[in-house]
Amino acid sequence: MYTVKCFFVLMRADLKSRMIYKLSPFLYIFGLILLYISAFLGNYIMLTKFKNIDGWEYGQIIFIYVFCLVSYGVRSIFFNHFTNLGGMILDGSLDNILIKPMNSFVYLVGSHFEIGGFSHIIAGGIIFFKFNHLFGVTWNVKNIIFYIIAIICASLVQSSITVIIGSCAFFVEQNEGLRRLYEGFRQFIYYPVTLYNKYIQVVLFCILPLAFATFIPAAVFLNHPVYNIMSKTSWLLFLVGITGLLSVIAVGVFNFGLSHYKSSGT
Amino acid sequence: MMSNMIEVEQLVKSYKIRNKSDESRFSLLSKYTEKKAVDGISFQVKKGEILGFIGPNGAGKSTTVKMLSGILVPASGKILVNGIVPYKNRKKNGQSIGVVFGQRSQLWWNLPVMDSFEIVKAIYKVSDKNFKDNLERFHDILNVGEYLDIPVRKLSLGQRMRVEIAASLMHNPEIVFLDEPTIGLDMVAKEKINEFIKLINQERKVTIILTTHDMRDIEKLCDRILVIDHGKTIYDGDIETVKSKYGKNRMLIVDIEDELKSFHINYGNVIKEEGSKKYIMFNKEDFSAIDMVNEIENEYAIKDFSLVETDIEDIVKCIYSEQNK
Amino acid sequence: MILPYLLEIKLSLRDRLVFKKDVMIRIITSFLLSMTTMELWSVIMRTSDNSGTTEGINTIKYMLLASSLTMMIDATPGDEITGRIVSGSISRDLLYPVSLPLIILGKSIGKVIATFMLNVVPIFVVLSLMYNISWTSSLSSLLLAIFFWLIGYLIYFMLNLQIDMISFWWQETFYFHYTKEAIYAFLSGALIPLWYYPDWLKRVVNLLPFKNIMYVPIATYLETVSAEEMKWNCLNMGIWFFVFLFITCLIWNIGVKKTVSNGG
Repeated sequence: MYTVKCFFVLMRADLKSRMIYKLSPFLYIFGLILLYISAFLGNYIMLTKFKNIDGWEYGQIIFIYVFCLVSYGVRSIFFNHFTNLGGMILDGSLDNILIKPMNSFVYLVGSHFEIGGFSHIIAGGIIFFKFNHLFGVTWNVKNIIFYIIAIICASLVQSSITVIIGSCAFFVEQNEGLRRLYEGFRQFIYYPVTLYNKYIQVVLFCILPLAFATFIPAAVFLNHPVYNIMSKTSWLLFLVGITGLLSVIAVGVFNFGLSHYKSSGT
Repeated sequence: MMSNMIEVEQLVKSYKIRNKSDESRFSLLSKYTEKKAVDGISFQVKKGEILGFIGPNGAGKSTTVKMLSGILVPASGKILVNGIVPYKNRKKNGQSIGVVFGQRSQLWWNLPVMDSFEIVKAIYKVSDKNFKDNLERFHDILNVGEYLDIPVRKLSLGQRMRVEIAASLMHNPEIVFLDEPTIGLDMVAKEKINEFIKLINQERKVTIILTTHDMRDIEKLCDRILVIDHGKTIYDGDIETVKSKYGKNRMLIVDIEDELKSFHINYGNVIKEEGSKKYIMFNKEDFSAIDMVNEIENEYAIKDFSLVETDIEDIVKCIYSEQNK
Repeated sequence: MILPYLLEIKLSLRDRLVFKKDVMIRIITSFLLSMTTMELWSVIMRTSDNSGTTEGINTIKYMLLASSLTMMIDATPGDEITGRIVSGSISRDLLYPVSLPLIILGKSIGKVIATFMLNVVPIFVVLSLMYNISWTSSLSSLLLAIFFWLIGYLIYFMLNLQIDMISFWWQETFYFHYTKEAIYAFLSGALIPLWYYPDWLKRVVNLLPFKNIMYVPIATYLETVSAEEMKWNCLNMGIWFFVFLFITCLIWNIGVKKTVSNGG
């Protein structure tokens, strides 16, 4: 398919663009991995000290922590560029994209491969494999498949939110505030969302649905009373449903914003 | 009747400009004033024509080009490019147009030139044969083949512009929009690019819309010019007509003693004043230069004077000043 | 003599105050980030039967102070020298009869003060009210803590400058900043109070300079430091301060010499 081929052509070009200094990308990723591991270690010391927080075993908390890192990493790799839409409108590079005879959304996703995202994924992976024994999850075929689906959904949730926030640049000159809000609230989802007060939980479920990026995916695997309302498979279906909905909304908001941009100009 | 490549009728586009007076933190709610960037422009362009867009900055030229390329949706009016409505068929329109922005590159900065070409090939679905033929042809005229392995950021401005134009033509578009393609280039580079544009136009009958402030480029390349100001068409005609209409014009440049004295004359058109130097355009069939000098001498003491032929730049200035009368 | 540096502080401060929208947005983010920490820790303390204990209360106070100090420290620019070398303006800067490192220090202090006034104070007050924290330490502890923090800040500043100065030789310094961030955050007590660290880790941390930036000032204020510990802290602080001063001056002189001899 034409679009798919173009997507890979663009990705290859962007990747090659970044590799001009041979060592750079690796140093960059390595530095970031250290950063996230160090942050995790701080949390880890605390978690081992207080083995149970409000009914959550520390192994379960680490499980959720990993979701947060990995889903954000995937979102960063493909969708980080959407946070730049405001800048692209200002300097005219968005117009360059609109001239081309291909889908603008796909172009934006493909032309910017943010390798820093790998650091989140690798850091998450290291933590996952080191503390696997604490999760209380048996890794049979079903769970492995579920996990892959859950990670994909979690990544799409974070990506959708990023696209929606980024698309606000079509309407409002400065969407800096929203982006910062996202960054701020994102910190909350490293831990089970039920730990926080109800106002924060409302935000994380309804306004910035970040809870669906870590807390809900974890429901498919963990044994915790708060998840007992549904079976694990139901949770997965619920997650997939919400992910689909969010993704559709995200693309819709983007397209709507784009047509608004075309009608109003700069 | 030969169908038109581009048809524009009563095109209107307005922008909402935010009132910058209140920079409060609640600027979402600030007031807007509506500014008409394009106010009822109409014109047609035939296949293979080279049209020059002239106008001061903010006249509406780039807005019009953006509407033609499908980036902007007009507020009202009819717009057809190669038979399709650009904003309704953005992708299809994109396939038949090429664009070169003088100030914004479409190439991949860090990658060798060839990579940018190959990306164009993929995105515009250029066949292997066409790609190869075009590369050869562009190398013949522009020497682009020498730069294929060099990253774009290492090229000089002149080299980069050649690559930009080659890239914009790689998919054999029927229309090409050139926005200030020779800005910042030296004479030799400009010459080469203009040659290339002329050649491609003749060989492939590519319709070209050239937006530029450089009158020499207009004179060399364009069949027709469209002068725009404040979103309206001021003049629409072919170069030859313009030249013959205004070609009988001469320019008298007088340097008067008293530069502070206000300068009025009964004959000809004062199109520019530079301190004590006054630039007067007049039709040689109406007055002779000698008469004019004598006439001026009656009122003002003349330090020096000279007589030049008018070029397109002066003609356009004349058109502006006529408009403003 | 000192005037240009004071001026730099003032300009840097004024710069931050210009865009009101910017100020608002920064406060919101910083507030949310601090609140995450506070929420988390208050839950932990509450559910681990630590809520009434001194340790529990001190942990909450510690985390609020740590968030606040982190905000101020993050205001320190880390790429002043790198930026000037990449753009080439370093040659012009070296011609001026003022010391560039001190100018950068002035700039940093300006930013820190601005962050303090605009971010830290409001957030500190709001969060203290939200989590019912009363600040009851003695004045002498407060003053001592401030003094320690100033020295700790200078140590951090010098560390930052040293990494910035790597750009004399290798221009992409931000990797090293990430590594520094990682190491410093873990070893300074910025992430969690150092009193939770296992003993072997505590011994390592005690030898290194990082705890002076976060743990020492905060613990001094919270009066959880014994007299014995205080003595060692002062020793550690003093030694590392002068060691860093020496290293910084050394690298600066070598770096400048290299730049000047290469023609910028």
